[in-house]
Amino acid sequence: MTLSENDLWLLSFYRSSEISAALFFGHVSRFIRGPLQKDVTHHFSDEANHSRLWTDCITELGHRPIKLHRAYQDKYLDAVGLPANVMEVMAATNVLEKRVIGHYRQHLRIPNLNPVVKATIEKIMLDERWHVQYVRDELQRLAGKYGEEEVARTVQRYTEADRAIYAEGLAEYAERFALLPTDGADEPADIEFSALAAGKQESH
Amino acid sequence: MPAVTFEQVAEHIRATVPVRVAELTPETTIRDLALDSMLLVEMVVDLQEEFDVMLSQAELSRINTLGELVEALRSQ
Ligand SMILES: [Fe+2]
Ligand SMILES: [Fe+2]
Repeated sequence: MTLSENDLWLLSFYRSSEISAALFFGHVSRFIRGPLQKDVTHHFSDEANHSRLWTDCITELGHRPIKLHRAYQDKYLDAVGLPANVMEVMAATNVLEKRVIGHYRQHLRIPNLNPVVKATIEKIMLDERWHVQYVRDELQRLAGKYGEEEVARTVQRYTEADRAIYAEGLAEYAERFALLPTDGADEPADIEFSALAAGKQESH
Repeated sequence: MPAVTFEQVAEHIRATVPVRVAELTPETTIRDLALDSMLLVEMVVDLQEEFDVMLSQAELSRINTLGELVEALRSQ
């Protein structure tokens, strides 16, 4: 089973996004202090491994990954500005990781999905679920230091930017993403602090 | 906690970006130190973690030079 030009582009895009995630988490691994060092360094190695899994998958299917210049993360940081502190790094990661899971889940819904691609996504998803989980727990903990409201506001800011960039990407690469189901790619918010909930009620 | 000094900040920056401490002055532009945005994030967040300071995006957007950064780290 071989890959179409679009498939090759898409899998190369996944590979390059995983490389960007690994590079970013390499930096996070260097500045993070305390007990979180262990999880963050594990996360860094997972993302590097994901880029390896995509490289293996593409190679197994008889191709070479295409070099792509700009990853999803770069556009994202351009739009929302650089994360200013540890909490913002974790908030951006929370939103991005949920996007990754939502997107990979959509990919799994493609009819007659290539079994090598399917197996690769399933392997990666196991780690991505853990990433979302430990980052969410850490954000809850950071709410004690930065304030619930500030954390909720930051997550919301990144979520809005992420939705806009994702929609923009789907439109820009309409042909590349043509096979992906378009509904249900947004993961539900999992940071529901009381401050945010109260704010929501007030506005109604 | 004693006040953060320029020398302490310079030492920490040297651990993140390839620069000699002697080349750093309060007028050094922060953006010029980091080759890319990820390194810039590492440099700025590392300093906050080291000196137990929290800076917001709004505060950071007003900081251009190393002198201003040291001032911001000191003010908390
Ligand atoms: Fe990943
Ligand atoms: Fe991940």
